[in-house]
Amino acid sequence: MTHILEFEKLVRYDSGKSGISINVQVRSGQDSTTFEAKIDTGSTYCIFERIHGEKLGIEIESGLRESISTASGSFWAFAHQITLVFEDYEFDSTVYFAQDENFNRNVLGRHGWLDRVIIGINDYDGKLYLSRYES
Amino acid sequence: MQAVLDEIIEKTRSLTNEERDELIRRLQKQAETSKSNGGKNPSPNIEWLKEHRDEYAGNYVALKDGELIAVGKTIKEADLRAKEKGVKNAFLHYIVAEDEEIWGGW
Repeated sequence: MTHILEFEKLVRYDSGKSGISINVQVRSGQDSTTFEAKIDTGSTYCIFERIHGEKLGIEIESGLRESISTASGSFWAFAHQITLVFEDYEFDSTVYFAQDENFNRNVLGRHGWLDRVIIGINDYDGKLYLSRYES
Repeated sequence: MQAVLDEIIEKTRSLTNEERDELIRRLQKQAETSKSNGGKNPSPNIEWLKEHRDEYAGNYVALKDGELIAVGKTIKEADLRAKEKGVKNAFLHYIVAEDEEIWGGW
């Protein structure tokens, strides 16, 4: 049985690099900042470096505090509502900014990103297919 | 987004000085409003989550301006229930279950 999916966008990425990354912009009010984030289906939420939240003028510690587990321990992060923009798509979402300023990863996780898009990955050719989920 | 911006800029070229001043005034007002509500401190939805997260653990919640609109086991369920109540762009958030770890991936 064949299954056919149609996507609105094709994003090319460097399959020679570590991880599958796309450019994202986070926005709060009139402030915004753009950076590269890795798609991580194993991450419960979208988690970003503290500096990105600070660039938006957000008081990081005023958000919802949660402990995030990793294979080697855990760290604290704070949830905030921001607008997430990528490839001409934008939606309000919850993202977590790490408390530790030395935390240097940015991941697009399952809740807040993956549950709002439809993706197809052809890693062999470095192609990411993307559509916004519209119910 | 850039195309929309270019289109708007192009359209402003035909405005009179008075109309342009009015546009600037309105945009500044919009920016001020956005700043005051723009989430520098937690948004009303995040404040709601701080207060009620434990009551809805393991569910998706659909929120609007700090009020609960709908609940669902999946994002689709919560979204559709919010839409049934006339709220199209509800803020959707998954609250992890009590026995569920928030995993950072990698």
